[in-house]
Amino acid sequence: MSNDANKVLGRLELDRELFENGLALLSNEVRESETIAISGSIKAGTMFDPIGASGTAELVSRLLMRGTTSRSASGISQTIEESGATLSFENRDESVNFSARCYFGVLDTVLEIISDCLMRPSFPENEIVLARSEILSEIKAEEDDTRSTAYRRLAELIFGRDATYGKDPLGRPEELNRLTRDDLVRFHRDNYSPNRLILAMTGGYDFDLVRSKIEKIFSRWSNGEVQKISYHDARDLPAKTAVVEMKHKTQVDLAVGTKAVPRLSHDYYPLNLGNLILGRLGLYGRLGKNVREDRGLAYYSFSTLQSKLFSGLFAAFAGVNPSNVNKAAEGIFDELNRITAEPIPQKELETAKRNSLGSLSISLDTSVERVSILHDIEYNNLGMDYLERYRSILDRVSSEEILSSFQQYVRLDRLSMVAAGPITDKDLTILPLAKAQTG
Amino acid sequence: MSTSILKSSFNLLEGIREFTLENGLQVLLKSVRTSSVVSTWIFYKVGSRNEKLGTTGASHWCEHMLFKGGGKLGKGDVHTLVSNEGGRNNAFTDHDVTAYYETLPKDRLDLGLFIESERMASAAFDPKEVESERQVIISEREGSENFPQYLIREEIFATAYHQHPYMWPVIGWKADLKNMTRDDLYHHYRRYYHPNNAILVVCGNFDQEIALAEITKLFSRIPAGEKIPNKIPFHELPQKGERIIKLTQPGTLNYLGVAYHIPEVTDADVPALIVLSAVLGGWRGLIGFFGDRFVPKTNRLYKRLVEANIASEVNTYFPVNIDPSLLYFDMTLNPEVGMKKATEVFFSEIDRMKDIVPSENEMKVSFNQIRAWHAYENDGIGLQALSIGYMERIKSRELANTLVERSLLVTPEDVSNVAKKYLSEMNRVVGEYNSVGGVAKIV
Repeated sequence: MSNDANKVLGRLELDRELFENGLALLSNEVRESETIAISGSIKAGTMFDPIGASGTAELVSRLLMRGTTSRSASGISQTIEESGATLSFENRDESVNFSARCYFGVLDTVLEIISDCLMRPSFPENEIVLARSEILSEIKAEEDDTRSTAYRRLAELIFGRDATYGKDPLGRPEELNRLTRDDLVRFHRDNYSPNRLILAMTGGYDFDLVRSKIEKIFSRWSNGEVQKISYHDARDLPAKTAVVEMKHKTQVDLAVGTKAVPRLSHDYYPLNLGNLILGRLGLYGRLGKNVREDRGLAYYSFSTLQSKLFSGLFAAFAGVNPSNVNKAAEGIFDELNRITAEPIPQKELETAKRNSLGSLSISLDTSVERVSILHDIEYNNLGMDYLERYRSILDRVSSEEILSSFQQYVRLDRLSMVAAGPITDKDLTILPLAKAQTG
Repeated sequence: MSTSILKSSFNLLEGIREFTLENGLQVLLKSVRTSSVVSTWIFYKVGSRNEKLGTTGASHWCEHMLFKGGGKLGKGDVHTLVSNEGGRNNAFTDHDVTAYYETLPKDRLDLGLFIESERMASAAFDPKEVESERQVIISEREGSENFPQYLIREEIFATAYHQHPYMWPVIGWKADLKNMTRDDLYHHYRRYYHPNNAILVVCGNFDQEIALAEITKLFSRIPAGEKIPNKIPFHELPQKGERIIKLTQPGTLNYLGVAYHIPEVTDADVPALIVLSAVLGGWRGLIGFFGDRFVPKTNRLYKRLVEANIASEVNTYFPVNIDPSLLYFDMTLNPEVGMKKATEVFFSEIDRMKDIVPSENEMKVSFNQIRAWHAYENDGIGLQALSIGYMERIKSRELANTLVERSLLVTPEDVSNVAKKYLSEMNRVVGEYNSVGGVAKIV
């Protein structure tokens, strides 16, 4: 594997500070840069939605920039934009993530606004109406989108409709419509606290100076009695297949998948490298070669491994003409059968390892990707020496481990499948269970 | 808080050296010795602008075929070779340009140059691979057809132009994709893929003398081709009235798209149009290929449409093209709001743009966003190479810096003047996407 890539990873200078109130700061100073990139998160995402109140985390996240106790929604946007800065918040299943970019000269202002949005949102009634309306509109757009529909329905089949990773973060319209301002205030009080907050930064500044700025701004925030983090998952559900008929569409989106492992599982790295080989490397790995290059069936066919704090999702996708759905499904199943039956040849594994190491080092070239990696290190508790260790982590993964992890988690008889588009259930004739290898 | 206009020492062009090989290949080298990567980009002066009816989409299809082998490269080798190094590679085709890149560890510049020289000299266009790729490209198109926003945009462009090739989508019309032959594609490749119709940009940590020697060795062997005139023989006449298209499809939401003809990017009015675009719809960079989730909210359209609960989303797209193009807006309407109401509000805001000059505050926000995004969209070696090469293709590599600097000199009156000149009913195309219900049935 490339020593250069390893050196690049090892050279990245990181600073970390854990403040008294639990806020974690991870930083990479790049003195020659004029600009600063920030990536942060607070663990207050969809998994904390109260029962029967889906969409609460989403609605709260959209209101963070729409008024605080000292600033109006328009005042926040005005200050950010007139500073030449950017700031956005995004709700996910576990956390609300935020990102910002700015010049050093306005860093204080941007940090003040981030803290204000997180600590003191005022949830104005008129803004609640607007944000709710936006979400309802997005739910409707999602219902008309084959890709989103296939993905969302697959997550529901695998985890359960009300489970942490099965829920649509946007929520259900009837529950969203019932949410009151009090619900949002309560959710914020119970879930937004500094010991759930991570700030990662990179750019042209002095770390000591930035640390003292952050301490000054965020030390006013103390931890209240926050809701305990609890993971809710349905018991292992039987594999299912679903068709979502959308007659007016041109293309079918096909998604197959199963429950995988959390990020800190010892099976994560074998599964991740296997996934790289199966559906990412080059132009979508083995799936891309089979479904796109050799069979010429689809523009995209790839796989993904999303490993979160408590569980994970493995899925493979293809976008195909309705007449090719069964052929594409067959191509995907062939590759899944192969990776669960045969060890990865050593040369292919070495290529994947080189790619994984090299691409991590190349990601450090842009501040936006670099800061996102810093954030992930802290979020997933990977350790300050993670980048230095990355090569040895890869070195330890063997073909046998990949084979056994895929046999354990990604067997065809455990896969659920969804097809969304101009197709009926009668058109879908190739199902995962029937194609599962036996013996 | 009072904020002045941002100062920046960022200079995209700092340290660039230019060379031209004897066969006409233009080479731009920018060394950044602190970087750990090197990014090789090649820009061919060909895009959908150079196509004709019957072979629309040929440029984009050629782009796909250049991953299929030829010369010393086998099918799929480009991805394999780059993956082996942990690098990144891809390509894109647009109206005016087709570009390919490899971003690699700094010691593997040779690989990026080798790949691009083989592609330029010897792409195979194996008939079997052409056929296999036909369905892949049709599938790419059909994936886009699933999105109402794509359908409305395609209709608007097709309606806005009567002659100019900007009328068809870069991916091409489906009938052409079904009928185009291998020879059509190979002819397109041979006509446009040669050294004197290309710009090679290398950016990152490398020694310029060594790089130039390697470039000379690999590319000098490729003969120059036919000189391709930059001008194409189409001059779109002004519209004689508003053009309106209406799509009625099953769906869940209604969408509105509006486009106004604006001049080529070198026109003196363009800096004022950039500021107009920022005041009206916010700013997210000149190239805009790699944005983030940031939604500008101080602009007039956001305030009038989103804050008034008429649309859940409004986007503004400023084009950087060689020929006169379209300033494009699209909106996702809230379900309770009718198309009539939405269009009335949108056009009343357009009219306000003509009647009310931007305030000092609007100008300041626009200037600082334009200045800042110039740095943000050049974050990293790969994006800098893209920016340099793309602008060189459109006009000159100075174009991005020039447009930013000239935009910062625009006055509120300039903005109002270009609004009156270009944002007229006569000069616009309106596209309505009206959804009729009943879309999904879960089985």
